[in-house]
Amino acid sequence: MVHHVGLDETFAALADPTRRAIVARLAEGEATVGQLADPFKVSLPAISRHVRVLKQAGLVRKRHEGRSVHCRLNPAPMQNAVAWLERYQRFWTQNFDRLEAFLAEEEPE
Amino acid sequence: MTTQSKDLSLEIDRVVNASPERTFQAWIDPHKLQKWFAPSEEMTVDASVDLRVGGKYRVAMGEFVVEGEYHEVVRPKRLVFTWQWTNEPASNEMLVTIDFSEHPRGTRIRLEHTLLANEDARTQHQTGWDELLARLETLFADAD
Repeated sequence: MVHHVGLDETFAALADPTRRAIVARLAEGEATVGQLADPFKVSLPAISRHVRVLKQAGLVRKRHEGRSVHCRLNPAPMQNAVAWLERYQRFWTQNFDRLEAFLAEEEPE
Repeated sequence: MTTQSKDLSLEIDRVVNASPERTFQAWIDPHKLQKWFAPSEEMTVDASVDLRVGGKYRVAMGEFVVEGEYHEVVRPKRLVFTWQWTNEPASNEMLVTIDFSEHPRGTRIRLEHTLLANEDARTQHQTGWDELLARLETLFADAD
């Protein structure tokens, strides 16, 4: 089953600083949940919950190997999110450039 | 999923060389909007505005049409309105908040564009983003 993930779900998953840190760590390579928990002052179950949110948003894939669970990053949904941000950044920047030009040309009332 | 979903926002902060009143006017007067509210000069802009809380606006930038409803209107300080591409039924509702404040060089405009992490929107519009992004790419590419 293909689970299509909307951008808002990606954004919601990335709106949390711990989850962003997990994503940053996974960008460097695969890690177990235990390794992911290492730098944080939170419990293993708490990290597992964050990983689950990231997995549901399609950002993390899990691989079971014996008793350990390995996580790796799936950047595709994030690329959509980043593309969304870039497009609206560009859209508003260009609109603001035109607003500035318009205000410069317009006769003050 | 028990996790509280959150909205995510893009923020833009700009200073323009005009008074807050004149800047605010440029955002709410349809004739003025027609002169600038599109990323490209080549795009024909058509705007209509019903400026009151609960009132609707519509801006067509070429084939791209955005519509929404005003949530807050505080002249010349603040505008809050919803943002929805109506030429794209699959697009999520967004919210735009603009704060205008006095600045030594004129007016500081702080704009926040928020994609609403709305449960209904999520279930209704699971697909469609890729197509929307592809089409929006045309809008933004034209603007270069």
